[in-house]
Amino acid sequence: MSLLIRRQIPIALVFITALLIMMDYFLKLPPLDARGVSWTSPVVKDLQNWGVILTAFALGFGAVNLFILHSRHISRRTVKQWPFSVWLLLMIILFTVVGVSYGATSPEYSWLYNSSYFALSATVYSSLGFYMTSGIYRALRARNVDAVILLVTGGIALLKNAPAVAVNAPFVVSIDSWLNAIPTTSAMRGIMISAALGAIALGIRTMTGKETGFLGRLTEAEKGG
Amino acid sequence: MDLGSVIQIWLAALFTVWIYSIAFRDNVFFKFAEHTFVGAAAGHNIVYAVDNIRRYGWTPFTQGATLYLVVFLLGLILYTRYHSKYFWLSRFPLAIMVGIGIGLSMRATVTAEFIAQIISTASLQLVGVDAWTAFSNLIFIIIVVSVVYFFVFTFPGLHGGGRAVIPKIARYGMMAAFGYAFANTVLSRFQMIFGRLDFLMSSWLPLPGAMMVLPIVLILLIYAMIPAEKRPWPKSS
Repeated sequence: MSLLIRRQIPIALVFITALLIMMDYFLKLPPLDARGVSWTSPVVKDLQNWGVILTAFALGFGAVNLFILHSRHISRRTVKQWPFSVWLLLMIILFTVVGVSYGATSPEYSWLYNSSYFALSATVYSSLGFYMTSGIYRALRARNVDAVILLVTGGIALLKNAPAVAVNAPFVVSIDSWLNAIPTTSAMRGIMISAALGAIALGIRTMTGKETGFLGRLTEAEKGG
Repeated sequence: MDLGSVIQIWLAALFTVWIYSIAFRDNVFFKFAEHTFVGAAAGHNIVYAVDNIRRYGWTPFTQGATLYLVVFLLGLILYTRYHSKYFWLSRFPLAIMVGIGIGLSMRATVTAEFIAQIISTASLQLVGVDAWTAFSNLIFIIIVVSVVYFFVFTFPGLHGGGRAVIPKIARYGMMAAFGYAFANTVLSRFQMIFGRLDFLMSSWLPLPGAMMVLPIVLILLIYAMIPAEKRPWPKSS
């Protein structure tokens, strides 16, 4: 009984939910209503809403984990860390209070968002450029045929974006266009088809209970089942 | 310009300078900006999560869809994951989330990433077009097929002997794609850096007092980068 509730019912829930959503897309199951819409459509619409709500609840895990971690730093007065932990928790509270009480589209929240989060996220994301520069310096070294191909295509893509090269050597632009249209697109398409096959296989394995990572830690009895 | 906008630009500019200071050395200003970012991101996510719960759950519930009470309970049950004894209860809402994820991704994957890609590869013409297009299309088809072979047929025997040429072609094709994509990603990151520098130059520095504060900000940053034992004050940051 315990095994049934703890392992088999969650797997059955995955199977039924996934199957309903797929059936709604690929089939038109009777009975149909006056507009010719299958009974699965409103069910799937509700299920998608459920997914949004559950994801919203799951997002709270991030905040809870941050609170646990930084409260520990504050209570232990971790050197060089605890004042920042206090500030981080204050920021979470400030954003939550302003956003929830005034609304996410209010001018008050927009002001807060634009003065901190927007500027910081754009800067943090762009600062990867510094690390990528050192990364590209190490990656683009002609050590073997694979690396030479990487170097040549990467070099052409970089050169094409230099206005002086594009003006004085227009053939670089033509080579770049061909590289983009043929080898890059075809390799990416091959990767996409392979990844799709992998995703389909993983989906079927999860639906049939072969893949149980989402169940979290399993007892010996649950593993055996 | 109103005072609110001026303060907003000042804050955004200071955060930008402090975040970029990590390119030289870790310092207290960077850590401050970093923790502000993490706190703001977490808070922002909470705000949107609450908004989604209100919009997709609370509104239908107040309009009579009582079944939504179940999903609120399931959402709360998610947090039993922290409990050592009752953590298994969290598997039920997770199972629904996983099921929805699989259902939605499978239908998108099968149509857009599998069938549509095969159709558009199969529709490439090798005859009835000029020689260069035919050659390019042939290369395209060879790379697609060999990359799929590389990832799908992974038994060791299928990558050796006379068939070793197929994974080799796939590797060369992928290297060309990765080199091209990597270079473009680096360039796009630099475009973002230029965007932030442009903000500093055209929005912040023209503000009254900004040109005077900039050297002070930079001097403080350099001072903060000096190791604690080498600077006169404060000894620990």
